[in-house]
Amino acid sequence: MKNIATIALVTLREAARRKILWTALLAGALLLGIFAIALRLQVVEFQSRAMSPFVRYQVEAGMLMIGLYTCDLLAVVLTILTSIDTLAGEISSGTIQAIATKPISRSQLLMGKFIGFVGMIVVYVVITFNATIAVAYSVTGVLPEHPLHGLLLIIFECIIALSLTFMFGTWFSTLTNGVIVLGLQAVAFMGGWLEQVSGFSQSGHIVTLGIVSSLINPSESLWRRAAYEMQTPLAGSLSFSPFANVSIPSSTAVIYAGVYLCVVLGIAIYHFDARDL
Amino acid sequence: MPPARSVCRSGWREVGGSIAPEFGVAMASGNRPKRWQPLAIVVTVIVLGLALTAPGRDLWQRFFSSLRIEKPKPVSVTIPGFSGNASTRRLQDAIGGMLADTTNVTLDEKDQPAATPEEASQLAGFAVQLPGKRTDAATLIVTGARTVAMTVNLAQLQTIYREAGNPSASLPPSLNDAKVAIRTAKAVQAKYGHCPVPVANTLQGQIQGPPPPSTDNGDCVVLTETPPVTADIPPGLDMQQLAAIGLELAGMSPNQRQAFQAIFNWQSAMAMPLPRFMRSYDSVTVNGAPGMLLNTAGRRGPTYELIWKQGAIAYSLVGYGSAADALPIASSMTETRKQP
Repeated sequence: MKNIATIALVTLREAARRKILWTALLAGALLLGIFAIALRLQVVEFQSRAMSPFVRYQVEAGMLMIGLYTCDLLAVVLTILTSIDTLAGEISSGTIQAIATKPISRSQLLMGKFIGFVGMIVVYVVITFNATIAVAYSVTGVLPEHPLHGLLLIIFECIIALSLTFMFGTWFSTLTNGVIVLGLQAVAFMGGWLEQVSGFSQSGHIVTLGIVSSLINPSESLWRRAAYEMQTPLAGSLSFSPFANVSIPSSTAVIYAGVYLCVVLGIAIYHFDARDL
Repeated sequence: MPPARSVCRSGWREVGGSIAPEFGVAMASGNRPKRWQPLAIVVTVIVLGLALTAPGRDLWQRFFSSLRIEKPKPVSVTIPGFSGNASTRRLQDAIGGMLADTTNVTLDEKDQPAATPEEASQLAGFAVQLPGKRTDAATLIVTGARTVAMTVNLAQLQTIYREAGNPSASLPPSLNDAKVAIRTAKAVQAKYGHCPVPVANTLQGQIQGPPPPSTDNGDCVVLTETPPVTADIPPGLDMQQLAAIGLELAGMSPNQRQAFQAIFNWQSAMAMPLPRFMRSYDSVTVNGAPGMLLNTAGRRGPTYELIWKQGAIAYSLVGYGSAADALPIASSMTETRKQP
């Protein structure tokens, strides 16, 4: 455990040295600024109309969900881009040979790096997620339902993406790793939105296709579950927001994502342990 | 002497990458058994077994179903409207969505055409009135009765009250899982003139909505006569307040909603087709009864809706021509047959 903790701390220090977290937070702050301006403009627009406060609440809650979705997308992309070369890059450059020395085993090395990245992601998601909610609350007074559930599911989604970059990083070069994981993310993204579209077309086949996509990469389905947890009940039942749940991932889908994470991480450890460096 | 593979791995661990490349390659990849191969064979056999056999496919199906929460059944099965489903929404659909996660349509009768007003009165069970000012023949349809049953979700209802700005509303705990049934009686619809063709119930139709009315539709008038809904409501559930939320959701401003509720109670409001868009309204009197003339704001759909209540029956007169025609037409309503 001590070895894992050491590597995790080194990874966090490395992330801080390379200013990864800071630049990501800067990007997040820029997004939050735009989000705050958009919300403010919306509030001013609403004040000029004789609109029911109740309907206004629903629209503003929908805008909060869009803000949280952007925060989620940014976190996943950040996870992938910052971690794609942690194994693949160090293997191809030979740096790994200086790190993977006694008494640290390869599995400890991988787990240490993984936990280090998880720590960084948790810090990032907690800051941006809460900042998005704080901005929305200060401008509109709207709060999401079950924010803790949503936060945990978004962190879980990022960890799934992280495990994929680690697994493919033990096989492929940095660039190939990035292409594969971003490609898988695109598959999940498309599958998730196809399921949403199925609400209009009432197509069971599209739902099946979406489910298959979420089996290949369950990250997007975790977001949709998070959106289901966080949206207002009325937005959910009357399909107000673009994330109104037409096809809602169940608890089994979340458990599947957990099993998926364990399997992917297990394969990553196995292959990293077995491969030539 | 330990096995070759152990030597290789421990050697690597000892020197941390200083192992000679040729030694590492020969020992690590040349002699190491490919442990993933049996696993891949087992996985392939399992996948083929699941895909090619009936029990396997059934298992897949159940697994797929378990990955998603069961979809709530939509309340709206048929929504009689001005000229098609897309131009109106019923208040009871909104209220059903607020009260419960899942609703069940336990009765959904088919619409029936009627050749004469007398036949329409007979089928509907109340005396139909038609405007004497329209001398052309009406197309009469008796819309079927419908019953919707639902189970109250108290937590959801509390959140909705909170969002509606009424967090202190008193909702007794006994409301949770209480049963609600809403019964809509048969109604009569009379169409006059050249009305737009109803929008097809297709994906494209739902997205695009009804086409903009042409000048040919200027003489189209649709009169709907609806008895109030009857309902089984548990004690402590304020339907008038829920109707207020639903009306504002349907697009009314708070002022419009108050004026509307001053005339129509929730039983009448839930039976009525309501316009999706509204620009303004006027309070009017139709044959001595209070009513509202709603000027609709949609580019698509009708130009006005006149609603009023006489006795127990709620009337809705929808037109595609000038709103100035509404009151004269409504004032010329005459009863065609006494209630059987």
